[in-house]
Amino acid sequence: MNIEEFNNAIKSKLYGAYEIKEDVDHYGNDNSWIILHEKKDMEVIAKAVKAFKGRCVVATGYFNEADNTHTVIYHFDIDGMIINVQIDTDDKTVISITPILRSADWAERELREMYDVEPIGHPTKDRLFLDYSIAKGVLNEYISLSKMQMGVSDTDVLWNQVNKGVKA
Amino acid sequence: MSEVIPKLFRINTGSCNGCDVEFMPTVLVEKFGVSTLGVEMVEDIKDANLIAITGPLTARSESFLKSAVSKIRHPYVVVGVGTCAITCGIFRDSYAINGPTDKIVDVNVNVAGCPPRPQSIAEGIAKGVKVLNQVMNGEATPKTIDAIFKDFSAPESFRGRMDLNPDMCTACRTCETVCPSTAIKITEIAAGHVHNIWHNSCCYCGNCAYFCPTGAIFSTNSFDTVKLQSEKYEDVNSEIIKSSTCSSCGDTYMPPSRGLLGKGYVHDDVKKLDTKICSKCRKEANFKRMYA
Repeated sequence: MNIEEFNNAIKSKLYGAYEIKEDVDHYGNDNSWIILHEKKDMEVIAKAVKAFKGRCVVATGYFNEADNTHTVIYHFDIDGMIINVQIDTDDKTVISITPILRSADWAERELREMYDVEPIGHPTKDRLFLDYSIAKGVLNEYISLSKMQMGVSDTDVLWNQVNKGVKA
Repeated sequence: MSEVIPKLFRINTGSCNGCDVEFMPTVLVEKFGVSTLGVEMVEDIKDANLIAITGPLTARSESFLKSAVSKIRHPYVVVGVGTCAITCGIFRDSYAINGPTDKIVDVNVNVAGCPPRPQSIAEGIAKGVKVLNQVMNGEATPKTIDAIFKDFSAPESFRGRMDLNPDMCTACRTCETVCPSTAIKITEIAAGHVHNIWHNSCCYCGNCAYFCPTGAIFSTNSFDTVKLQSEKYEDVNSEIIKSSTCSSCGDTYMPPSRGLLGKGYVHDDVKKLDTKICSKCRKEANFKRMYA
């Protein structure tokens, strides 16, 4: 099994346009970067990964502030070979691949909670860790690194009470 | 006056477990003196009259705390353990934090620290017991309570309550910027700057002391951080960093502190420098001296 074999297996089955780039990391491991333009094609990839006895390792989400879209990259592993599949969405939905690959369960739920991107057809509706009182998609908010590192507090509610007692 | 048996119950409202790890040895190890108070640990909140709460009250734990509090029998006393329980500490204003705990329950005693030393927690429990006795006997709680365990000491390297030497400080705001728990505020006033360190928000990380260019802010080894709720907003180290008036142009300016001059002029006698003029006038005078 090599990367070419996998790529050939999916090429004829994909519905929409796609881009494939093959790469080798500095350890010599093959990996492949696939950009899909048709959401339904993610199921084709998942089926192929399942056929090759692979798994979904994790998924990466990203909020594109400029055009209000989301980028999701699924990372699959087939016997040490990494397949990274990117899909862009402008309506905050992706087609869930959890019914095909159980290993995508956690990653898709995380995507839903942190970026408010709904994996359509996901079998579980429960939250992973955020309380129900917290709105979905907290990571869509922009927090600068300096603010994150130098203390998150940006209100003076408590300090105002302190200042009342301190005589300047 | 009837003696009350304090029955202690601990609630974690989403703490990182730092305080909880310190809490258990405090209660179980004899040298911290909690056993001398006759405190009994109970398994059910319905039996408790002394409640210790840790954590910044995460959104997830809010409903659990509310339901727990509704089961406590009156009268009772609440001890907030750790900076998070008092002001949410480094987690303040996070989307997942609904605290501090005094929004939900009336807190009586606060133990600041991140986490507090077992000695501080012991002191907090002791003060809680004292308040409980006063509550049970219908007495009013005084504004402050003196230290109960007086024989504790901290090692030299311990990072305790922060202190400021105003002679060394130039109000550069480095400490305010690097503080992860927004415990330092520097405010400009007519006479200069007010430098406030709020001990109930401090997480004792020592970042301010590490980054201070003049060594003006430093940690002491005092862990006297157990205060009554009435002192919550008053436990502040407040110093004024005075500004000067320029002898040349008359403008108000922030003079370089002793610490800053000592750093800049290591081989020279600092006293020889004319520090009574503002930086603008000094630049002008130097320019004239060199080129006029």
